[in-house]
Amino acid sequence: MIKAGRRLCLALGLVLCAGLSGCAFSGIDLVQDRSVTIKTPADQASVSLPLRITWTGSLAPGQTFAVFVDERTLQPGQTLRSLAQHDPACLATPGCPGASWLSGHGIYLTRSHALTLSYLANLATVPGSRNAHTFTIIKVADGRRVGEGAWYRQFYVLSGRSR
Amino acid sequence: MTADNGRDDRLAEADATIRQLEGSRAELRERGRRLLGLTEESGTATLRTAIRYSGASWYPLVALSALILIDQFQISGFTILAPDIAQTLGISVSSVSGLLAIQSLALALGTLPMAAYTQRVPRRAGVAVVTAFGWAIFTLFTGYAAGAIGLAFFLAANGASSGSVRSVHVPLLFDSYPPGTRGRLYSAYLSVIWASLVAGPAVVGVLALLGLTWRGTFIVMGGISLAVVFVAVRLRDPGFGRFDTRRLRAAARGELADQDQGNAAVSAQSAEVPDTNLRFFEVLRRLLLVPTVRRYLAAYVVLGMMLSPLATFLSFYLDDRWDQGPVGRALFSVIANLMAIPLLLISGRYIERLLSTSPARLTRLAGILLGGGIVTVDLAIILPVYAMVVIVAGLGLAAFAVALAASGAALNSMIPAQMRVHAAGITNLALYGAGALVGQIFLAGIYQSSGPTIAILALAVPGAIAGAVMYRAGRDVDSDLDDFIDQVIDEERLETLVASGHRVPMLSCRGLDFAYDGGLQVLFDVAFTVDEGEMVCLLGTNGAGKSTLLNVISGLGLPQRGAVRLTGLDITYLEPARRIRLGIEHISGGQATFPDLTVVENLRAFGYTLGGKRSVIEARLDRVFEVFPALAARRNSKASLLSGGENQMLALSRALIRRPRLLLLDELSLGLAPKVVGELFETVRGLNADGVAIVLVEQSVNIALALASHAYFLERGQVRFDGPAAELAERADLLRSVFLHGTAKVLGAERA
Repeated sequence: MIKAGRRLCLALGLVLCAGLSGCAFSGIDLVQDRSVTIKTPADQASVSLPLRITWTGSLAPGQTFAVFVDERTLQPGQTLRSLAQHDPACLATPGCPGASWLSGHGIYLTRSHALTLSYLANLATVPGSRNAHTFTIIKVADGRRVGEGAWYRQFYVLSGRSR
Repeated sequence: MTADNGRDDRLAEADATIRQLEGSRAELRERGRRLLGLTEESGTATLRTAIRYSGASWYPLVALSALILIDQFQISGFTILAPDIAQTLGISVSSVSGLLAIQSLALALGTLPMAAYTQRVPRRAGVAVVTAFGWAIFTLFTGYAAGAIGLAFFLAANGASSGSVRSVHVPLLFDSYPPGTRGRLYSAYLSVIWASLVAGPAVVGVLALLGLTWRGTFIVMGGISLAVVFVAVRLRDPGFGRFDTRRLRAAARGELADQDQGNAAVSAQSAEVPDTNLRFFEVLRRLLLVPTVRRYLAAYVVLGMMLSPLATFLSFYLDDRWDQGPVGRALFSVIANLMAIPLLLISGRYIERLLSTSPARLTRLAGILLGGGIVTVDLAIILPVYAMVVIVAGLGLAAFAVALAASGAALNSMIPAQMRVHAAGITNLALYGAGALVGQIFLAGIYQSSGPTIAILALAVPGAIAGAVMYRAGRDVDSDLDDFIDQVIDEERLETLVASGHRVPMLSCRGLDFAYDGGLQVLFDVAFTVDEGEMVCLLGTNGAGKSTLLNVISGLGLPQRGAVRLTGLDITYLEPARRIRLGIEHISGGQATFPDLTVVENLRAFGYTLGGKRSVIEARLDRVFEVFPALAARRNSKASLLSGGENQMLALSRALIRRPRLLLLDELSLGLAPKVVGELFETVRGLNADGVAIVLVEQSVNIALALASHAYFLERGQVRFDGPAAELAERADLLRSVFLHGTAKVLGAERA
């Protein structure tokens, strides 16, 4: 019985050791980063287009805000260029991905504290369900995501205002 | 004295032992029912009194409840914090769903290995505590995951380790407390599960309010979990069946002790008894043959199809129909789960009473609650006032909780203690694995095309089916419960009888029922006995069940009811390979060799079970070639190129190589020339003279009755004759139905 218990503990220990290789112990946030506060829209708000997104918060020198609309964000430390890794034409073009390439993919770079969205695709795929959207703000420096801070809102676009 | 008279004398005592066993079965069964608390008086005492009187303590319930309370921490955290995790790590929502699916899969699959690990040695408490430490640590390290792969790893590890909850907790609970308390305690334990569904999200909410990120939340929850696990470290396994199986065994032993005062041979002989304990897959096969278990599994699969999508659909329904955001939806979930807790605690006493008086009614009640629960939820979602929706839907969901308490209590009460971990494993696999998977795949289509309201209404179909199947399961509960009691008592009494020097037949089949998968029953209450060194023939019409009976004896077929015993040991559910090691050899006419192997290769393959003893195998090969010179001449020919007679010689060589205790020969002479048949049966006679007991299934009545001293005649799966072969030869009424008229006379003349 003791032997069996030891074997079980050993197995759990080995599993844990394997799992530790997938861990990060530095550069992680355990407490919420409140350096950015989204003002509008409110979470879960029903809105009409065009939609004005506003927020407050400071940026360190060299940093910009990157707003991802209905797109997954970068991983911490990942570059904006990595977003274009499946677009050889972009990768072959100097300066790409630039602002136009990014905005075409729902990503907006700005140092201001506001962004206006005039068009959003209709994401209501189920009859009767609502047209839900999400935007996420992160900070970027030298084309690379800074820290783990991410601020997001989900909102609903009222029908008839989006395609 | 004729040969069969000799048999009668030899078997008289052995049969008397079996008859003694069967004669007092009804009385012992009634006593067993009382011991299992299946009486009107059971469950009437207060819990405190019943627990104190039984010598049990509250600690196992407290420890298991503490563990189950933290079990939901990681999954609650992940579900609620999924958007934050996705934004932080830059992973998509579909990846998050995939991660949750991995965890569910690990959880469903984690139950069976736990069952396999704990089935022989009672170490369920150790497994519960160690794996709880595991999931606590995995919860903590989830907070340090660097990316999707790390998250997937910790979610899967957590799911697999928390599988222990679903496989060992309930068996531990049942073995820690006596009948008469289990219904109430099991309901109380389930109420803690429902409390954990509230506690998990509540802790996540509080930690978020305190300003922690998802990482901080997981780390703190892991820390809390680790602290709580320490509450359970003194948990000890009470052993299998402390209050049921062991009591039944003790009662059976006690009954014998009254008749057979003290016999010193008990311990001396029991040391030589071969291991016939069922192994993991044998237990699973055994369980799947219990009609009630099969119906429960079917009901759980359909229930899983309904429950898994129901939570998702309800969430979308609340969003679309009532504009409830995450907070409103969480509140709905909290209220619904909170409603289940008092209902479970209140219904515990009623479940206890039904468990004592009629487990069948308890199962039917579970069926009604399942069907009624989904109808109530469906009714709720068409109500016009949100408060009414919450209350009525909450009642419907609480009905599911009570249904699970009722069905779980009934199921665990009718399964032998050592098989409860297996039952827990397969029922969880049915509910959370197969059912959930099928439900998500098929019912998602209805949601996509019709929206959440119609999708929830459509769930009434699987709900009603699950309820009906569960209700129907009540039909067999009583007889399955009696089978369980009989099995335990018979096993114990036979072991004790054998150990105390009573004689039992070498092979004893009793009450065998066998049906093929399609439901066609072939054997009906068959009793069949063979003694050491005996030659018995088994005759009957085509399709009477002769070959099926041989298959049941050799393990190629498993009976729905009844027992096959070898020298008193129950081998009914052992795998064929283990029966070969116990000395049972089944040679099926015309298909007993490997056609692509040569004669020598075939013979060596037959010797595989001798354990690689080359010298022994070679010596036995020489013996085969001595007995069958025709095979020696064709030693390097493939079996497929041999004549029919040579092929049967090769098949019969298996007996010469392995030297079994019991040889089952099925249609050895079919289609062979008389000269070859004579040669083969000369060998069979020789084997029998060497002490091998033989069961002969033959088309040729002349041969069978000439060789065997005792005969059985099967007709439509029932034994119509059991007596001396010579007597059967005189029974033209039986033989006429199959064989040419006059056979009996011919045989009579031959014997004279």
